[in-house]
Amino acid sequence: MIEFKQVTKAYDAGLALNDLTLTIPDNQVFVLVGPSGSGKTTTLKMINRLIEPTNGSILIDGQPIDQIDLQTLRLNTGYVLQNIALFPNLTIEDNITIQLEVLKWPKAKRQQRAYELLALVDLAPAQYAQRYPSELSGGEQQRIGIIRALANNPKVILMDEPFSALDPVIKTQLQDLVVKLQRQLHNTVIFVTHDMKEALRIGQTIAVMRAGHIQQVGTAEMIFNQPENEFVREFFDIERSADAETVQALLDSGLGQLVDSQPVQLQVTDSIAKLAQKLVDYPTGVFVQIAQQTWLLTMADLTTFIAKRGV
Amino acid sequence: MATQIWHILTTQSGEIVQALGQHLAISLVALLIAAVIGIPLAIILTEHKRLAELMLQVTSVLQTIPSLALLGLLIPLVGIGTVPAVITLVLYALMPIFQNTYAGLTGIDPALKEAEIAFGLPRRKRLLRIEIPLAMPLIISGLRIALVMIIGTATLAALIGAGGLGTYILVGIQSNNNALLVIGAALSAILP
Repeated sequence: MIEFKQVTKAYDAGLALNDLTLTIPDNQVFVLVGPSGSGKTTTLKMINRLIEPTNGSILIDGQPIDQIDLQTLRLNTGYVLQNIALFPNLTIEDNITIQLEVLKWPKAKRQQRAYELLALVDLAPAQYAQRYPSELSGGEQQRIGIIRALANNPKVILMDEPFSALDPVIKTQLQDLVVKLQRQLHNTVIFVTHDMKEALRIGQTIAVMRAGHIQQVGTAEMIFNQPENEFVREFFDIERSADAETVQALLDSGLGQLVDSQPVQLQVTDSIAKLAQKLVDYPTGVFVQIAQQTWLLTMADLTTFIAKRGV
Repeated sequence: MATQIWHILTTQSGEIVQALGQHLAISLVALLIAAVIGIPLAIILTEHKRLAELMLQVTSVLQTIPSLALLGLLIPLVGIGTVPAVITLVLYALMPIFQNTYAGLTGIDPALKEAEIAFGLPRRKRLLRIEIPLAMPLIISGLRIALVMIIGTATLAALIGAGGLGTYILVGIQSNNNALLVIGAALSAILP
């Protein structure tokens, strides 16, 4: 368990973290999500002391981390960077086992461990071990980045926007990989992202941050169904596509005109996108039925709705 | 004059080879000393930015002192012969070696530096396993530049009795013997 107790981080330009109190439970994927400048990366980097707090304390399993030997702390914490940062002059095998070299593992054991980890992420060891990072694709490199973090079997793995620079297909694959590995290895993965979709996909617990404060901590369902404040609601809305809004929302906001019974072209449960498509075919207006009533919705209604609510 | 050159090359080949040997010896010794001082110094000073900047300025000032002047300043201190020659060459070689090694080490991708620190690698491991190998192309080019500089400047060693190919240039000038002059100058130009 990792605890932040009233942690503040002050720079000349302002407060990166403002009296942050947070508990990160063991054995799950814990996501820190928020816009740039929210303090999520600062929070992450305090765990392996790349950044030190100005005030407050951070504890791992009850022990303040400034009392643990720094090298030991870092050798037992996995770290995955956004830029991947594989060492270009070392082979894949040596990249993976660099921490184990420091721990004086014999060569044979290190090779065995590297092969194990390569197999864990479906990369044929014989094919990959002796290659150099520049020979691999971005997605492959980040796979290596992930298993490099796992080399010493740490309890805690820190991931700082690891997939931001990768294409969407690879991103999804690697997200699934992170979840799969966590379930298998029972460690604690602390994952920073600015992408709400990514947070929802992989996070068992999600902490929403903004301007150095925590806005809400909870499961995806909790946050979605009971957003704590306007910021959280808006942060999600930005990610919600037009498909999620329905025609019902227009009627709810007082738009539309009640008319006599007509053949209808849409249901209230249809999406806004579908309404827009229908209005192209029927520019004078579209008929919708709800509870024995028929309503007319026009292009003007749709435009008013979008202007008020955003898309 | 071509026949004169041929005559000298065939009759004085022994002395010419000896001069070549002296030239090379002084050059390589000076390079070695400059490397042994310059490279470790650059490594240490990557952790002390202000001192490093100072060192860069000092070495570039040394570059601007004319070699003869430097030789002249040293002779009252250490006499004539090989010693002041080698000292002068070392002082000249320091800048390219120090500057390139420092640039190589400080020019490493910051993401790599963050990674090696975050992984808990001790300084020695970081230097030997990652940073120096990555800086190596620049270190080697620094040594190469220094060597070319040294071999050229070593011609002056002749002036203070340290021997080398410069002797041929000097004697050639003094005795108005163009053949000797050409041999000395050509060999010192080809050598680097």
